[in-house]
Amino acid sequence: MNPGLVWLLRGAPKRYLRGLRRKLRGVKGVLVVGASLVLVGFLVFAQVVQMLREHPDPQELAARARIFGPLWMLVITALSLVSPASRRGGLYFRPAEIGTLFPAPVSRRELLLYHVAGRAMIQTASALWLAVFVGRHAPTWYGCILGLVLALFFLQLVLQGSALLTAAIGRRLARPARVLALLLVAAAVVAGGIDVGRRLPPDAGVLAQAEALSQHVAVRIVSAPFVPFARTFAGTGPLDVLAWAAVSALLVGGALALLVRLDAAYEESALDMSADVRRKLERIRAGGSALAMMGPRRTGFSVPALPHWGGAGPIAWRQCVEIVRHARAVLTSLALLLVWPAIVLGVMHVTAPEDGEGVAAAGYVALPLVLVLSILSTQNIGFDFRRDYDRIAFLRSLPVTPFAIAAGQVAPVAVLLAAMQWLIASLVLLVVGTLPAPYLPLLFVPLLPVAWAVTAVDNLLCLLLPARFEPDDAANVGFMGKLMLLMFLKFAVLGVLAVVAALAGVVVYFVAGRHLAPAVLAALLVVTCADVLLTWLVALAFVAYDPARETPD
Amino acid sequence: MIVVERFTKRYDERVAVDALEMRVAAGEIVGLAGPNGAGKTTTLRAITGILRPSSGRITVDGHDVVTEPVAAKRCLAFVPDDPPLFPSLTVWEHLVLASKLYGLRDWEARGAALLEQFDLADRRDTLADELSRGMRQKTAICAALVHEPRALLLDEPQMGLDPRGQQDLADAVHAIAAAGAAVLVSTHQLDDLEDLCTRFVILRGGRLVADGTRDELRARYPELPADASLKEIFFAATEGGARPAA
Repeated sequence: MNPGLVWLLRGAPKRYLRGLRRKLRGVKGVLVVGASLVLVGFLVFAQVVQMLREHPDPQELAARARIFGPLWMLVITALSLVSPASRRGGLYFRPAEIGTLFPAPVSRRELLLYHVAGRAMIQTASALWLAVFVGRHAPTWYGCILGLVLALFFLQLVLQGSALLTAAIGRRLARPARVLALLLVAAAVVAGGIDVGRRLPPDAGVLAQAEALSQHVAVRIVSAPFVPFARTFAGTGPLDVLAWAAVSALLVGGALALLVRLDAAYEESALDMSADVRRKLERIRAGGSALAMMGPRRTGFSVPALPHWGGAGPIAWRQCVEIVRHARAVLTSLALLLVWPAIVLGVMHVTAPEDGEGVAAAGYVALPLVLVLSILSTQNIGFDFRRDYDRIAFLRSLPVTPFAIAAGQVAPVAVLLAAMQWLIASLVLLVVGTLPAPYLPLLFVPLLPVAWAVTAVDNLLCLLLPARFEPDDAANVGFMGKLMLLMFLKFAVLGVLAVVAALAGVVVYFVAGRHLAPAVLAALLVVTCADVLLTWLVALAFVAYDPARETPD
Repeated sequence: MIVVERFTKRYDERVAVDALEMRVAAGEIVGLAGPNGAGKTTTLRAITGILRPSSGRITVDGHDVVTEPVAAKRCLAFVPDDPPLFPSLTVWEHLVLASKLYGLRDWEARGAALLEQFDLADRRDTLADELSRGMRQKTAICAALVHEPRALLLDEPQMGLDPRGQQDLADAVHAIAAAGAAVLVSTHQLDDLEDLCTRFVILRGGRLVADGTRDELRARYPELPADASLKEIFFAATEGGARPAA
């Protein structure tokens, strides 16, 4: 391989540490990295403790891994092959790699090997991270790590092979070929499922059905390439693990040899792919979530101008237009939230159709769950400061007070979040039938101040601790730690607010002679006051944000 | 040195460049101009081997960029528009990378001199993502020049450079051309092109519409004044304001 490519690969860990060192500059950096590491460490520690406390039978674990491992890999591979990136075809190279390595005297094969090696490093990090969570399902730790590393290598090679094949035969031919292959796999699984359904007794459990399915001859044929990886993971001793790891390594080596032998002219598709990824990344960065990757915006829709409101109106109007033009992403986000109560209520209806109380109970379980989920997933509708990192200087130049800018930025998302929560709550309560329809609009009143508080906290944190996603951050423990830290801080602030509001409500409840309405009003008043305070804090953070210094990572 | 023969690039039904014929001889500095979408960047990318010609042939120093890509690339250097550097490499490490990619030995003195020439010596250990756009541009230029290419391709090289940087770049380009390299510069800054280049190639809609020195081009458009600037020639060639002489 070209010495320049080797030098780049060898320097990757050093550059990662250098990046980490840079983040440690200043008190804020130390605190953020420290807190992120503590959170990640805590998570790892909790998993390790759980692993040590459990003493499952290794043979039982091995048997389960042997049965379900290939099936899991088959599902993950199929899902990866139908992912938008895979359908698009092409290998992803960073802009610097395209700008520097593509015009350099490096052969296509050398560049491909560099790509494979670079991805392998990321896959190794991902496998180690994954091992923390699935380790307790493997009989040995070394089998777990080896199995996962080799499985992820193989999966990566399959995806790279698919991209190269697309480059070799063209997207028009590759698409039907991929669909045909996936249909064959789906047909095998469906045929197996029908056969298993016929043979097993109706009261057989889900696990028994899955086991029977994985043992069906059609499923065993399509999942055969994944068996050695599952057996490595399931190995009960060093010899067992090593033997299957050797077989897996042979498969990985064979896949790599095929890839290199294919020698497809992938440069143009890589160029397209990388440009596409950069565009999506810009959209993610601008839209704050993976949902922002969805298709082009609809420019046909707009919203009427809002009153001036001290400058907050035009600011809010701009975000409203963005929301309307990202309607698909917003509706998808709503649909994803609606899935949960739909599943819970649907299962209840099917399993106990006559049990009205059971359905009502299920509704009361689903409702808080989905409300918490909506608070968790506000990133999907982050039409506020979260998508405006690059526009802070422009916003700062406007003749509008920081408080009005903060309010204008927070308001649209707060209203949108409250509306989504109201819609979900109304649907659930209508199905459950515990609240008469005329009272449903009243639900919006308590939801709005809560949604405002959630949005304001999100904005405050995004201005204080900016974080933006990079394609390789999926395996970046530091980045994940930071996301966990942000989530922790968000829930900490909202938790304190909930406790204070609840205390106020309880006090008023007893003072007002055990009447619920004044207690609720008191709690809402506290939340509304907190909204004003939080918006003011967002304004202060907006003023303190230095676009030249703050480089979101 | 750089020979483009009936180069055509199609994207499905769209023709980005249509049967382009162009040559850049050793020691020549040729300016590539054209409106947005004229095919300038496509042409530069095809010469570097990043894009494959749909038809036609491109050679660099006699090496076909499709059949002998490594040999062709060994002779050339390409500085793209707003060059994307490796964010976690320092300025000096970009030169180290270039030296390794091109298999250079004893290049350090030349690298240091280039940094000195482009006023980057005190930024030697600065990471790329801490540099301003102009400094990133200078870093990419230094990395491109460190292996003394025989063919140099520059896409919008003046963008982001301060006047001193622009002058340093012009000096470096003249020096490398004087040493026998073929230089192809693509830019919208026609004033800069006029001062820098010895010959001009103007594209419109993927087709060659003018090729020659400033005097030759001026002569093709008799309706233009005798002292017409390159900008006026450009408008005449690309917007049809003046008809070329037969």
